[in-house]
Amino acid sequence: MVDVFLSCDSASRAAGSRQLEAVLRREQARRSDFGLTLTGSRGAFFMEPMLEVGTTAGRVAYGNVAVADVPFLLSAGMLEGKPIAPFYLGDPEQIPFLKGQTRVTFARCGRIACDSPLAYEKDGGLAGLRAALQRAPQDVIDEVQRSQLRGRGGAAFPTGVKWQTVAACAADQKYIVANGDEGDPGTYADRMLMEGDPFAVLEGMAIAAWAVGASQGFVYIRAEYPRAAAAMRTAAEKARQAGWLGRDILSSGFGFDVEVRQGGGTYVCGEETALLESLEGKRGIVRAKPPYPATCGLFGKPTIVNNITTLATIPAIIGRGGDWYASMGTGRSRGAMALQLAGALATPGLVEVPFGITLRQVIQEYGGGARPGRKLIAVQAGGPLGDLLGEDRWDIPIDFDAFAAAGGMLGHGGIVAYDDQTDIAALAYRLMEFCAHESCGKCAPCRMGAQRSAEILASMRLGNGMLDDEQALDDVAFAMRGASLCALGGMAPTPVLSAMKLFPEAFRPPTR
Amino acid sequence: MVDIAQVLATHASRRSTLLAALQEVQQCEGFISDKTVALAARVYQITEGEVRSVIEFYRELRTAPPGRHRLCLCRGDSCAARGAEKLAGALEKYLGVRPGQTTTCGGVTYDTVYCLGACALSPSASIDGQVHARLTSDEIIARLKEVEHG
Repeated sequence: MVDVFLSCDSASRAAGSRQLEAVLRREQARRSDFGLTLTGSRGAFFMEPMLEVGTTAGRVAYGNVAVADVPFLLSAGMLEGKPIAPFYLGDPEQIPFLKGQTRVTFARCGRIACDSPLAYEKDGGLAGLRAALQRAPQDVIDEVQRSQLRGRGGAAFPTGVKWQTVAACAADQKYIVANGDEGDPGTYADRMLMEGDPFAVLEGMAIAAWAVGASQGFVYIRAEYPRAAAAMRTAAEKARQAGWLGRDILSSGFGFDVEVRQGGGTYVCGEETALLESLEGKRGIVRAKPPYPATCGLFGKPTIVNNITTLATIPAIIGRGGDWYASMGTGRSRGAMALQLAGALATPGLVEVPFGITLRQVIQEYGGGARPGRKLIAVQAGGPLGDLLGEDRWDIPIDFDAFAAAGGMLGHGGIVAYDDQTDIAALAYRLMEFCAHESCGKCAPCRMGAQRSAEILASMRLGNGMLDDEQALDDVAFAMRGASLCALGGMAPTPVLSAMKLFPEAFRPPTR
Repeated sequence: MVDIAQVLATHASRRSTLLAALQEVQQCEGFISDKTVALAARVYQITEGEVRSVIEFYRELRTAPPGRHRLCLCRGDSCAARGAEKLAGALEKYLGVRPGQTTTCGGVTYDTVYCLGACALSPSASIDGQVHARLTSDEIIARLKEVEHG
């Protein structure tokens, strides 16, 4: 029987796959000549909702399918993979948007059933965990060190170094925490993995646990991602039943289990120490560092806090070797990076490419540039705290250190493009209001500085600016940068000040 | 009817579960009542003030009953770049309330969030947890009417 593949990723469902699923199930009951497999998304959201058919000659995709098109597609020979215009896309992996990518962490997303441990294992899943359990923990850490993998959550800290620190601590209890509090507006890689390849996240956590000697893990998922939380819970239960999570993993005698927790709608809980406070059931307030979580983390115990995308990359690294992973990339940014294109682009979606290609290539070749009739004026990389980059800086390579050297950050890989219809003063105000809204309140410069800066920006926007507004914003930024414990207060002024520098005319009061 | 004392008791062996327990209670009752606060304080052997300090920190936890439906408009960067402001204006006009408020007949609680993670399909909003994307003002209001009128 022919298999039809449909993404059940929450963004795909929002694009219409929710309705497609319903109509396909109805058709299936009527004709019973095809099976329906729910997958994650391949990330080519501009073509969604997308259907794929597993024909004898391989997968064939049909893009931008509406509910009303389904009966026509079925009668026109979709199940045989017929080239039906205008939906036919052919082999999905040959679609230009996907063809040029190097899928490592996202290799499975969109291809296989996302809730089946069997499908996962058949597609190469568990090879990393099996290999790890055959090796000494230190060997596993060495492999991660060799891969030169750096944390994908934003800070780009070397993952192997973090693991080594935790491994070196003597403690009766250690923890693995998967940070799924993907709060940066404009990012969705972690969500796609948790919904589309949850077993890879769990496998990465189990490998980390073996490497450092941890017996308990937590996945902390933001409240705005209910489907991701449900998917992770289901996956953990299935992995437990399949014998690779729990007391005796793959009959190795090693025990490790995972609990899924949800956040409460606060951005700051994505910061690792605030996240740990929240996991302890308290207000999610940032802790002063040091001590770092690696030595004194959850309940004061040595704790690995790794981002979801980081952890989901681990199985491939252990399975295929750290040297293989490190053979891709540039400088000290090795491997491949999942970039999440968003905003005013023609073809936004998730793009996993080796480090080194330029920002311009990413937004033009994958993002498709501006939409018809528009012009891109700026790109914000690295989330709401990332620098606003004008066109003169689009030739920076995708590389953590190159971005840092240019005064920006690559962070979690969110790339939001703004076109010539953007109200820049409103954007600056909104970015600062975001910080005021999300500040946990621990550091006065962040708590009050963001509030005051937002007020100034609001009055400038209304044309009630004062002569010393810019100086005042600079002064507040100085205090926020110097005296905030975490990146929220420390970096929130960055995009605002760069917006003022890039587009000074947007902040001048209208001539009366 | 869910026994709140039971829900709290199953968690209370660990102080760290307070947030998770409150989330579960809210899922059952829609919000966290004064009674729940008092009960949680007793079960967890902490002060009511401590319970409230946790509730107040997490925006998702409510101390008043919500409307029958919950609308969350995304205010993230990507949605803003694709005209979310227009949606906000249209929604305020249609609902007659501002973010954080519930319509007078108790039908819809209107909230804003920073990002629903559907950024490649901006602008987006969620209704009762279900994400809708590539929205126009007419589209989101039509979706709202659908749930309001069953």
